[in-house]
Amino acid sequence: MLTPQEVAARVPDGSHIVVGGFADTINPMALIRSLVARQVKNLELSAVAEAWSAEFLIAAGLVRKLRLSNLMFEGLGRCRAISRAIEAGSVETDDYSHFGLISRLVAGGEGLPFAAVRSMMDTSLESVETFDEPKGRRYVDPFFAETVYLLPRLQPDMALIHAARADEDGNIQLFGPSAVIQDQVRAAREVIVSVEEIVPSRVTRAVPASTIVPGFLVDAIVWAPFGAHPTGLFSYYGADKAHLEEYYEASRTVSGTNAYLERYIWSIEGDHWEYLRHLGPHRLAHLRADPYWGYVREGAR
Amino acid sequence: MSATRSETMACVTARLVKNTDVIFVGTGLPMVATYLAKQLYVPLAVMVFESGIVDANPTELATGVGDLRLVRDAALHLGMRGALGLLQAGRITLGMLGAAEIDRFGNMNSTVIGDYLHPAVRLPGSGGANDIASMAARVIIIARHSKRRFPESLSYLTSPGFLTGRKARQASPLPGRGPISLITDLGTFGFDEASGELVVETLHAGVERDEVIDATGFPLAVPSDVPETRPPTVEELAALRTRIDPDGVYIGEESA
Repeated sequence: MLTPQEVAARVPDGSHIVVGGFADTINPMALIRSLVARQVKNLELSAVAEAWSAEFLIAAGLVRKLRLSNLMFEGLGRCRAISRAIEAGSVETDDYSHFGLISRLVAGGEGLPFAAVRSMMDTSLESVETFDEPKGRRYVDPFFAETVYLLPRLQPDMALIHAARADEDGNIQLFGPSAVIQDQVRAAREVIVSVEEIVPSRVTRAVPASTIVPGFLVDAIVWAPFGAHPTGLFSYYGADKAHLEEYYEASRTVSGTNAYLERYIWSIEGDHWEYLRHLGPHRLAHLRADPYWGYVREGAR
Repeated sequence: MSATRSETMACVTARLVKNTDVIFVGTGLPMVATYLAKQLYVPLAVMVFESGIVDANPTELATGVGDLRLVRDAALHLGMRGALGLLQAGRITLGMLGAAEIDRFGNMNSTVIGDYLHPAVRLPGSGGANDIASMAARVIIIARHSKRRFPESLSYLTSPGFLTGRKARQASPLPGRGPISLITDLGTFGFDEASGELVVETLHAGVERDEVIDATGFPLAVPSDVPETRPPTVEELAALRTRIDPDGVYIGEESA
C-alpha cells in the first residue's frame, strides 16, 4: 500500500497517463493533488471526460500533450485553465469523439493493433491530425465491404483510478457507473488505485458482481478516504458543489487559480490528511450519501 | 398561461419523441424535454446517457449526464463504451444535441472558435456528440438562436449534419440518417428534402420574420405565411413547472 506522495514519486516526467472519472464523479483527486504537489513535468494525458483531473493537472502546468474527447464542468461551464492553456498554445491537443478515444483504449487493453469505429468520419475529427502519429485511417473491410475508421491502440504508461474499496488481494469494487475505468486499466502498463476502504476479501468475494478490476491487474493500492473530493462517489458522498464553485470562481484568473492550488495543494505539499483536515468534519459529514439514493438528497439536511 | 421561450423549446421537442424511441440524452433542455415526453406522452421511451446509464428513471432533474441522481433505479450501468456501443449497433433511434455553432446543413461545432492550433476560444470538444450525430437513426438539434450560433461557415466540424448537402450525407459511410429537426427559441426548422438545407417550419408566438432572419448568420428564406408553433399546453407547463424543473434551472426566462 502506498501514500499519494509515494504514487507521485513513481510517475516519471513525460509519462503518458489516463485517469478514471466522469464529469464531477470518481476522479482520483487525492492522487491528482499529489502529482500537482510534486510538479511532475511534461505529462501526456488521454482524457475522455475526467474534467476535474485534467483541469487541475493543466492548471498546474503539468501537461504538454492532451488527447481528449470532452472536458467541461457539468452545471458550471468551460474548464477555464484548460481553455486558457490551449488558447495560449502551451498544451498541444488532438480531438476525438468519446467512442473513438475509448475504442483506442479498448484495442490497447484487448491486445489488438487497432479498433474500428463508424463515427468520426467526414468531420474535422478525421481531417485534423496534429500529433506526430497516425490518428486514424479509413478501411474497407474484406468481408462485407463496409467502410470503417481504424484507430491505433493506445497503451498509456499509467492509469490512476479512484474506487470504493479494495481487498488484500487488490480486487477493486465500485458501486454505480464505472465510466471508462475497466478499459483504462486493461490498456495501461501500470495501474494505481486509491480507495475509500480496505476490506477483507470475504467482503468483496461475497459480491463479485461489484468487482470492476481483479487484483492481478493492480500494481498498487492507496487508502484515501474522500479521495475523489471535490468530485463525488456513488453511495459514499456527493460532489462538493460549493467547493467546485469555489474553484470555478477562482479559475476566472490565473492568479485566482494559483491561489486555489496554493491553498489546497502546494501549502500542504499534497498531503491528503492535511487536505481533509482543511475541509473539516462538518463539510465532509454533509457530503455523505443517502444510503438508499446513493447521493445527497436536496433539502434532506 | 404564457410560456417562456425555453419552455416552448422543451414542449416542442417533447412532442417529437416516439414511445418506441431509445434516446441518447444530453444535459439541459434535451433532458428536460425527454423527462416531459416520458411523463406526458411516451412512457415507454428509454433514456440512455453517455456516462453509461441505461433506462434511467430519476425522480429529480439531473444537472448533467454524470449526475448521481441518474444512478439509482436505472435498468443497467453499461460503462461509457457499452452505452456508446449501442449507438454503433444501431440501437439508438433518437439523439438530441446542441452546439456552439451550427451551419445551414445542420453540421455542428463544439470544439474551437478560430484556428484549431491557435484557437480564439477553446470549447469542451465532441464528447459523444459526434458519435450521436454520426450513428443515431434520427437527430434533433436544440439551440438558442444568434448570428454567432448560426454562422456562414464553421471553424471546425465536430458533428456531422448533412455535410455539404443531403447527397453528401447519403454517400458517406456514416450509418445515421442525419438531423430531422432543429428547435430554437425562435422557431422550429426542418432540412430541405433535396438539398438538406435548413428551412423554417414554424415561428413561436410573438416572433417576427425579421427577428429570425437577423439572428441567423447565413441567408434564410422565411415565407410570409409561416405558421405559428403550437404553443405549450397547460398540462405541459404544469409538468415542467411543478414536477420537472420547479426551480427554473433550464426553463426560466434567463437560463442559457
